Amino acid sequence: MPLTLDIVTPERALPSQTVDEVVLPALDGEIGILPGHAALMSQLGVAGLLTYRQGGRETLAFVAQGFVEVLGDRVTVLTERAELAADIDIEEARKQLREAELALKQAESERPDDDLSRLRAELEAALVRVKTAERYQSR
Amino acid sequence: MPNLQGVRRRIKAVKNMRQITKSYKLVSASKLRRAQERVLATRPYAQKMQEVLRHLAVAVTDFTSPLMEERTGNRTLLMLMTADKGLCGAFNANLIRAVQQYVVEHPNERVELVVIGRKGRDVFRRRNFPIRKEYTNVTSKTFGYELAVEIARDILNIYEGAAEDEENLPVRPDRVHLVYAEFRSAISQVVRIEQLLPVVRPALAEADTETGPDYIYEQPPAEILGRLLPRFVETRIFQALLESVASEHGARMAAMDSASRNAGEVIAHLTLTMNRIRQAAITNEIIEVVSGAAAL
Repeated sequence: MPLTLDIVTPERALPSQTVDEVVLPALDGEIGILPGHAALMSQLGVAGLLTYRQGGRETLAFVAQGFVEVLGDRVTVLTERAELAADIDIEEARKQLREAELALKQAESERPDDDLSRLRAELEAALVRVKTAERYQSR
Repeated sequence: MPNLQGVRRRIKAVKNMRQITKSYKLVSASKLRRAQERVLATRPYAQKMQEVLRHLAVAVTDFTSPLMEERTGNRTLLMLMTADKGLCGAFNANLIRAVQQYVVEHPNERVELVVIGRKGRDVFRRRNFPIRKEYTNVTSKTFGYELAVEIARDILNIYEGAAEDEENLPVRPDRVHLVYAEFRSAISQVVRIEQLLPVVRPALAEADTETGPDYIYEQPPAEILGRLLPRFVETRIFQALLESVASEHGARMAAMDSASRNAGEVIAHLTLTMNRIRQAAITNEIIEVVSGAAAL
């Protein structure tokens, strides 16, 4: 029995997919889910690459922050941001990465005492997003 | 009797006005459609969030987050979501009235406000009502989830604030309520006051077993719950913002529709008056001609 994968973000839900395998970027490392998996709950990492396989076809997606729940044959990914690799505009992603780098550097020199974890998380997300798009293109 | 030219001028003016209200109605209708789609698009996330929270709350009974703890003080923070613009019937007035009513009905509470939207801000600022934070012109353009994240961060900062007043009592609010217009349909908006903080521990649904699903937790459940609660607050705020925007456009559409219809009635009435005046003038002239001829 294949898995049903739902990726939902606050702004939209990606179309539900029937998949044979999902690999998720959980907080403590990647988790692979196959049909028949036990019920599971985990946080997702700051940003990561999610892959799912349908037959021989693999799809890449970018997700950032959130939670995953496996219950029965349903995998639900609750995430703040989700994008299929095919939908990422690589030039725009690179531009965002440069902006995130710049913003962090500027903040580090101007107000080093502030909590910059948000900017760091943004930088990491931008980086992973570019990598996702690059991996998709290199196929 | 009013003169013919004056009546003609008024008809023209009302027609111009009807043109404007009609186009404003169409603009609102298309904005409403988009807002409605966004409200629907966010529901799966909100539902799932609620479900996960419920499961976790069942699994983690010994863990209390400051965001879930009941406080006993008398300070209340109301988060009021109004529109930035008027011309939407009683939309803003209803929301403002709900806040005033809350204050009257809870005389023992010290109520403060966080206002989103210019209309609410203007009214309460004029009355010197204590406003902890205000956001204006944020909902009139298209906004993303980041807005809710930002607002949630500010609210949580206020909620957990360490500042004290002159009697060394904390000035942080003991509870936060959302005041917003729930979107029922294009013609029906309902003012809702809902508790945002402390987060209400969700009750068990009948379908759940007493323990909820037997998860393998990758991180300790208490940690997951601790991370989930702020996200949950963000989601609630985001949804309320979207509902309130959809309601605003719905209210405006209805208001502009009745304004256009009213303009039509005024035009019909004025046209009748105009024709009467014209006929009276013609009749007068005929009488003059006829009586002139008779005199010859």
